[in-house]
Amino acid sequence: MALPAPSTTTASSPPPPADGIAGWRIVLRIFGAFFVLAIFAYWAAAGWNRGWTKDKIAAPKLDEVTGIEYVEFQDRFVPGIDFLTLGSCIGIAIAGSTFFFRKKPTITP
Amino acid sequence: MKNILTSALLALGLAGSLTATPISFDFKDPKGVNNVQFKLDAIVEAISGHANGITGIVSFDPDAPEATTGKIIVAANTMTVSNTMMTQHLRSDQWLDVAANPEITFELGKLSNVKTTDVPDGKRTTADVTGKLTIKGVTKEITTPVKITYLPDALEKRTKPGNKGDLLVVRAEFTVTRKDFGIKPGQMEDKVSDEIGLYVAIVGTAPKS
Repeated sequence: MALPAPSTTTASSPPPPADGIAGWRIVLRIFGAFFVLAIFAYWAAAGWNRGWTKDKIAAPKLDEVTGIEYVEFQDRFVPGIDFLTLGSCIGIAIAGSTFFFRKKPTITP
Repeated sequence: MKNILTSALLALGLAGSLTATPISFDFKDPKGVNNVQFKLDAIVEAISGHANGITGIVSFDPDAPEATTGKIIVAANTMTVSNTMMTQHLRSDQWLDVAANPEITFELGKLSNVKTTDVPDGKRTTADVTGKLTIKGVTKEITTPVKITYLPDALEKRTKPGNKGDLLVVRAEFTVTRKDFGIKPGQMEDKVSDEIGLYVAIVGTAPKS
């Protein structure tokens, strides 16, 4: 019994992805955009802190007898401009990575 | 008779003031309000923080404030800012090296330009204090304005009834430079200012037995 001869036509090959964008790239771009938006929303909701990120807040207190003002630190995360910048860069990198590492379309003659 | 009595009372008062002894105030405050604030201008926002590990003894005579002596010690490892990573940098050998220099001290030398006024609860003295400030193992003599408020019999107001004693509140505000104390001298001045603003607000207690 003879083996079938290899196909010499392209009729059974998948279509070339010349004009289409792979689904995973679209997903990553949308995820990257949402990531940037989420970071911005979190930063804005936490008080638009244009200073450095803080992980404790100084709560001012007053000793009434002496009039001395002092602070008590309370653990609280307040994202700052560094958090916003880093988060935005990560989101942009995620979305931006989809524009790289593309396989050159292989067209079978 | 009346004149004799008045004279006797005056003499007693004078004798009392002549024999007045300085009161020793302990600045390890049980309520933990003593603090030194520090502030440096920096990019993005000023770096500000606090140190609250304060101890020391000051000898103060309400009738002779110019004779005040004493020493205030700040535990360098209590210097804290609002960001843990910055706090670690601040305490590291790059900046204050608190492991090798655990104490920041001020040794009071003399008071000049002393002015005392009565306030509702006691006496307030303003003066220029000269003393030796030691930061990161470097000692410099500095002179800075100081405000000292003596509050007799005020201890029980902030502790518990029957706890007799006096309070001494000391406030000072002054500026030092990083280069004077070997804190990254001449480095990163475009990012963190050379000048460090310091604001001291501390209270000492002198219980009466």
